[in-house]
Amino acid sequence: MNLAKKLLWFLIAAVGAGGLGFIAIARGEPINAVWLVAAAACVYTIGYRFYSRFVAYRVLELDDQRATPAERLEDGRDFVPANKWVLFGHHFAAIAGPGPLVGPILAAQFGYLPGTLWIVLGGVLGGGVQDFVVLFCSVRRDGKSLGQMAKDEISGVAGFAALFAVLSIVTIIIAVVGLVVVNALKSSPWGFFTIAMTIPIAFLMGIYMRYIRVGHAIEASLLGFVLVMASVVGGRYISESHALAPYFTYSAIGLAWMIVLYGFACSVLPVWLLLAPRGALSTFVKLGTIFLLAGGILAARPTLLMPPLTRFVDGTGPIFAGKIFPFCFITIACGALSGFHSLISSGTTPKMLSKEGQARLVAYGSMMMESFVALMAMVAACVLKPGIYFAVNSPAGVVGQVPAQAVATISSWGFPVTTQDMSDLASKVGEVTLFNRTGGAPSLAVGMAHIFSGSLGSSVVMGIWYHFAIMFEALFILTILDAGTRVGRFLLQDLLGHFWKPLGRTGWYPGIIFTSGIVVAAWGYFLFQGVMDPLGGINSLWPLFGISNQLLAAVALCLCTTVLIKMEKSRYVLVTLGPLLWLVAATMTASVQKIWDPNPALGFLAHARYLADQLVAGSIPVSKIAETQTLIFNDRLDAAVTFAFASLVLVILIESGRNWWLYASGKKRVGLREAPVELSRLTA
Amino acid sequence: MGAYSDQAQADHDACAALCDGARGERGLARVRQRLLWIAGNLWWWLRQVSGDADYENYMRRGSRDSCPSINQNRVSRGAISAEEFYLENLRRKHSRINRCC
Repeated sequence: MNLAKKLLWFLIAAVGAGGLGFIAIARGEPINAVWLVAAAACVYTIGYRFYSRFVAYRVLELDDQRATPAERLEDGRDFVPANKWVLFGHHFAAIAGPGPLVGPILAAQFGYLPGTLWIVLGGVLGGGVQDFVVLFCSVRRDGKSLGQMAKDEISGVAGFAALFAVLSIVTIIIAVVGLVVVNALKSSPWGFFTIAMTIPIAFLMGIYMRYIRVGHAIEASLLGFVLVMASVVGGRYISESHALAPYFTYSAIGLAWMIVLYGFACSVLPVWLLLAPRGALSTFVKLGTIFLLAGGILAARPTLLMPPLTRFVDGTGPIFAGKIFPFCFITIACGALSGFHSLISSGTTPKMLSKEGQARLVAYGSMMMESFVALMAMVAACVLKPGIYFAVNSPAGVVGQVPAQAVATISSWGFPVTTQDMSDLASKVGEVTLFNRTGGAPSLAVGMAHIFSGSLGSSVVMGIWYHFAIMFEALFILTILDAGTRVGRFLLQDLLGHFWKPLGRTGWYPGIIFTSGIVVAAWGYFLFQGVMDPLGGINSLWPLFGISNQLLAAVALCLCTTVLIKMEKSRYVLVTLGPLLWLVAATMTASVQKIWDPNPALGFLAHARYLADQLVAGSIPVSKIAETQTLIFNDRLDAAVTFAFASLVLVILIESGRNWWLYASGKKRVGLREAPVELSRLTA
Repeated sequence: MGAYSDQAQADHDACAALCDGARGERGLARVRQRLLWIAGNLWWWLRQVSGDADYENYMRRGSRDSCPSINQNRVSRGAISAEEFYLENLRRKHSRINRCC
């Protein structure tokens, strides 16, 4: 490295350290979001340049002379060597879902500091490493999946845990993202119309790509984008029309039923008709909006009105209960460290990697981008007045059903807000009300609309920007929902096919309908549980999602650590063992608190007891007895599910730890299950 | 001498202006070329990532695989139509986890 380069890296390090220092010491006065963005960008750059390079060449010893599965097993379909930038685009589009947007918005209840530090440091030291090492492991093992590798390298129990985690994570993530959409669209004719229109638009795109211009996704997506934008603009007229608005106004329960039916339809309809065109449109809109948001933040340079730390660090938060540790680290998964990413890193990506060295850009680089997206979501939440943020996100069960009661409660916490503020904001964005919209999507949309209208227009168009943001979020949330239901159906068919062969046949319609019904019923149950929950549903479902996601991360990091030990790289084992220990500490603490904490706002069993006591005391009205009994059952079910996740984390950890001890003491022969070495003939 | 030097100066100025013009045009052409190159690469990247170019890539690989001097280990396959390829591609893509949370 020459002097000029050294000076450049020194400058980047100085700006990053200066930015972080400024953020850490700024107390009492709002800071500009650019400080956050600049500091994070410098940390990501340094992390990529130095830490990922260290992992790549010291720890993993990537070898570009060694042929990858894409080259050795090339079949023109699954195994295809791809250009590294193309693969980077594929991988980033696959890992960037709604998680990095919703998690930081919810975690903003602690203030901007804890979430920001976890996003940046978790991404560089945890998430990037996990994605990178899992990709490396899969590339060295013919592109095997996480479950197969866990079974081969750790034990059959670990393989089973991975399969169980995948099925449960798919079920819970669909329910939780479904809940986010329900809370964003309830009583919102504009939002509902826009999202409903994406279905016929997708049909049109599907027909275009299937019959008119086969496989031309760019043309179809442009057509779809123009039509979706027209429905975003047209939605205003629907919401202002007294005749039409009632046809597009639905309660949370009505919307939940529609989402269930939509998920079922997506699972049984031909993939080219609905799933594929929606996926294409969502990818385009997602990538475009992320760049737009980054540009908007730089152009508007908004001030963060949320304090660095709020009073809710003590665990009394209205959106979800629990202290910073462990709940900040469970709430923000996808932007920092997410087990789900390991499925992508051991899915399609390893089958398309041309050179081992490119794994660094594809996996670690994509994770840095994803982490940056999470940071922008955090900025979008924190540019709102804290009173407005809490009014939008707090459930009615916590702040009160009536607006006056809600603003009085929120103002009493030290975050002043008035009913006038809220009704002005609602009318600016074309909504009747923005109270009690738990789930993150509406507050992210308000934040994004604030940033966009500050940099790319006036507040006159804030309604358009708000509904554009809602459309953007709902579009790719529904893409997760439909793709997840279909994948869940395939996993279930695969499983049930062992018991009765016809159920395993993916082309047999009775089997498709039966298994789709089971998958939809599973996530639909949790969705309705969230919709009926007086505490907003996010309080119980999001931690469940976080814990199941981190269960998968525990499997992935145990695998990575095992592989490093088997490669005789024990001196570098902290690279993966460090994030694993942190993750296990956070997951286990969160699990124990969610199950057994005596506070009914936090512990499932305490909440069930609290409701049961009320039933016994006769303080529940007769009309609410059945509902309360359901709530008690749901609390106990959630406690049982959490217990199952936590037990599996422990089992995997004990199983892995036992193996590590046996390898270290020489009592067990180290057998690395890598594919045979073959020299590469591809040029980089 | 004075007239000569004035003339020479005028010639020099004219030549310099011409040269500057030519250099400027060459510079502009280079910028234009560079921009076109970037746009072309972006378009190529977009077509690859979106899947627009999948069938072309498949056909190109098919013709390369059938050339024994390039790839001796692979059996040549019969090419399928664009529509069959599209549907088969979608079926494979959507039967496994291809999106994260």
